[in-house]
Amino acid sequence: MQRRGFLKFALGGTVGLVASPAIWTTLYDLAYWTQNWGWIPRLEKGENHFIPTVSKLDGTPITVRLVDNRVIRPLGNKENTYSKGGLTPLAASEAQLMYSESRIKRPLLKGPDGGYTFISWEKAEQILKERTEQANGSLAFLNADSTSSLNDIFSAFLAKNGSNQYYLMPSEEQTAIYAWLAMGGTGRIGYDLKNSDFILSVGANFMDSWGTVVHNRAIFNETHQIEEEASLKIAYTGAMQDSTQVISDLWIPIKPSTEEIFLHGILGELIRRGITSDVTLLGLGNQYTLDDVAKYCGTDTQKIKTLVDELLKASRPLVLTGATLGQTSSTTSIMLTIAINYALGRINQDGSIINLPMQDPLLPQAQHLAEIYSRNFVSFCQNITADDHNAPKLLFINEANPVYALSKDAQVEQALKNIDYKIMFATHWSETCAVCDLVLPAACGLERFDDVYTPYGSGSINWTIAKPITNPLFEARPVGELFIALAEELGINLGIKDVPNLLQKRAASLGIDFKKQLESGDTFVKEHDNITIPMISFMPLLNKRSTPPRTDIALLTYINSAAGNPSVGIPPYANRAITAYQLQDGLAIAQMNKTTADKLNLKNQEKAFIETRNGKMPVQVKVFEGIMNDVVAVMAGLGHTEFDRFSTNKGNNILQFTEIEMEAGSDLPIWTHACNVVKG
Amino acid sequence: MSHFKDFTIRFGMVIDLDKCTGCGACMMSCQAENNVAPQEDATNKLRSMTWLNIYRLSNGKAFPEHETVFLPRPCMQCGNPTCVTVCPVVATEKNEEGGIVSQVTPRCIGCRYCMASCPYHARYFNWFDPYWPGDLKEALSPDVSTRPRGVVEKCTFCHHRYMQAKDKAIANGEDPFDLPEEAYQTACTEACPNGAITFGDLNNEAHKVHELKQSPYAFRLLERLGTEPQVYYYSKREWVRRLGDNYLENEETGKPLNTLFKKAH
Repeated sequence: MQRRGFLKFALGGTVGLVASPAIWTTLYDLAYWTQNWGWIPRLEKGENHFIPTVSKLDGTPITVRLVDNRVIRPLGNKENTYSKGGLTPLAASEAQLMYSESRIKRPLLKGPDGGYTFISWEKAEQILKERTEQANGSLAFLNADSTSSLNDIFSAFLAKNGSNQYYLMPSEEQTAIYAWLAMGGTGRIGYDLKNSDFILSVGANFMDSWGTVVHNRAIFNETHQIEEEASLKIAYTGAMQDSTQVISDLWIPIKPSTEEIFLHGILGELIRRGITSDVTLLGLGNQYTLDDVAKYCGTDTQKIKTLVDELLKASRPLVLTGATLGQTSSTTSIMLTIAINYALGRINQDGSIINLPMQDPLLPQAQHLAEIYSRNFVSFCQNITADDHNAPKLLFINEANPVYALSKDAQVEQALKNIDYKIMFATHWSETCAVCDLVLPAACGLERFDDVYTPYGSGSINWTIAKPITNPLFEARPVGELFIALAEELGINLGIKDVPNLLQKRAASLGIDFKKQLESGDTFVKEHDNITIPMISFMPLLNKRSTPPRTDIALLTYINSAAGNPSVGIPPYANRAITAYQLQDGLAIAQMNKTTADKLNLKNQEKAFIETRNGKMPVQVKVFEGIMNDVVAVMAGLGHTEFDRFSTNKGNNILQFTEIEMEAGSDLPIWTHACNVVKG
Repeated sequence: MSHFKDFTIRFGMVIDLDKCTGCGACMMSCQAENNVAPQEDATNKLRSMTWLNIYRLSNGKAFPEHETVFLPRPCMQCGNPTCVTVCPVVATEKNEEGGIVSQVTPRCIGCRYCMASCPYHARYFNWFDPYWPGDLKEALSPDVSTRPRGVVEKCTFCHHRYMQAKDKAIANGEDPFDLPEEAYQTACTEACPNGAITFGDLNNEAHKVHELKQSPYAFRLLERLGTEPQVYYYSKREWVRRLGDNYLENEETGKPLNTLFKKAH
């Protein structure tokens, strides 16, 4: 070979080798076989710190592990008297969500083309101020969290700007407060699960998605010690074998939307057994025969009688009502629950329904919780959609995601279009962020001062302080502090200098030492003190006749609490907790038993559509016998179009397809279970 | 089948299936504690990695006689681990006091023989490069090394916590081989809000698991294979216990078992 030929060969060979995947594959394999991989993260060691706080995702007390100043993960707080060291899957995801890709890093301003550009905080603050001034009192505010004392800052800010349009996301707490006050309660309705010896839960999945879940679980743990006789009995009426059903002693599945009729049946049977001589109660007891109750609810009379036997045998029974998707109970069903507890003599006793005092606002002009809940966000949206003259000029949204979480019936998207300007404060980029004009990065629960005050379902007044474990990542800011500063800019005196100052006021209102409470990380619990039983009026229940479900098939939307919530999407680790009976091949799973599948002419793993008046949603059928006849169960929490790679491309969002009706009398939204299932 | 190697200390679990509600707190904690990389989509269970998985069990009957139970499944840390003998590179061993089956991922060549031999499907092949997008890697625990793709992973009973507990005992002048129950607990045990998991030394009378494993309601999975799992389950329901092994119709649970393989000692 000549010199020139050799050079050609060498050059060609080099180019060929470099261009060929073979060399890279070999190098990869070499690294692989020699264990010399540089692409896996190296660990950073440091000093451990453990700081107690509370998860703002679901109110679970946690201890956060830090290595140097880096947040590693939340652990259960063993010292906490309320949770007893238990952890929920959502709280366990708090650190991952803090570091999530979908965190909003800098203020974002929507341009005329619909795209967003990063702007500075100075510019964002200027827009905030100008827009508030320009709105001239035509303001509204939507917040997701009813447990936070920050509600006082936001509602006082609104009031001082001449508006009372302060909203919380619709929830069961709203219907419960309405029902309790309508019947003569003077505060908030509480449920003392801890001291009860028999709990009848009509539809409330209290082990997973209703009330103070981690506390409920701690109660269950204490009363069900392994190798010991259980000291608490549980009866459950949910239509599916879920977290509460699997630990219940008695299961009476009833069809969703028949809870009111079932409660009528229980009350009637108690009255027939002579439990009460109250004249107004006696009038409520004969609306349905037991046979009718059994027929409508899909159960049998003997089961109802057995349940009543158990209720009468118990010394401290407690009846509570809730919906599998914690938004759907009617005020009537809660009133009937109160009536049953009253008939059993179970108001303001140990282990009964408790008339918890309603907290007074901490700031001048801040709104009372009952006042906030006297308005509902669904009607707000529907009114704006019907007539855009009803729309405020400016809407603030804090951490709520109504575009995703509310049914198409609520007409949220159209309502938001009719509002001139929308400013969103969010930790993560959500479906609602995508329709707002200005999106501001909010500090998450581990980065700010906040609190959890007596969540719905509590049996006592309780309070846990959330404190910043680390500085806010990126350019996130605590929203409470932001509004205090904005108020100052606008020449408004809210009466506090910062959020810790607000929390000090809360501590003072409870008669406790703020500093000690902050340092201990414990939950302050004030048990009820057998205060006077309120005068319960049954007048609101008279002439209320419940209607049987509209469709033959009932849609049961349920929550897998591991799989996040509308405000944060699906946490990265939660993808492993989403099972093949909840999502498969990119389709949400519709679980039903074989009798129902046969009736609908469907087969296991066949594609189908859930059909409501809000459209058709594709699903895959999965036969599961732990669900009652004529009920189809679909998991909520799928079908995100925003957030990050861990939340998107996962089936459809059943919440958009559910139907909402306004309850006669209360005018509050109720989520119905009407649906049809058709072949795909 | 390997020889049964006994240890003075044998860590184990008793999982009360009558208390488990399948909430997933144990799964979440396990992943965070052990730096298991997140996956965008884990619905394909043949390609996902879950050191601790939760199964939904059925009694096989139609509604309304149907019953459901949730079963968390970590590595069983078998006394006779079938995975150990098939490993060609000694990447998995059962040699340390405590009786935990190790998994030395830098040694693993990804042949997956151990996966094939494990009757509990407790071992997972790492199909994908581990990836913590954005700032997620900030949350990595310094206690457990991250693993590359191409190796097999499994639950280690949070072995690093055992090491830390022993170190602490030594530093305090205590006997590292006589740890009190609370000194070493796995992440899943700690996280369970229902208290369904009890963890401790099966051989130590002072530990609750020692007594619980002797309950007539305690059972192990596929016990008659002779793998001697160190994870016990507990249920007062006969049908649940029957699902633990392949029983003939006329056989009852809780009776002495004829194992396929006898203990070597």
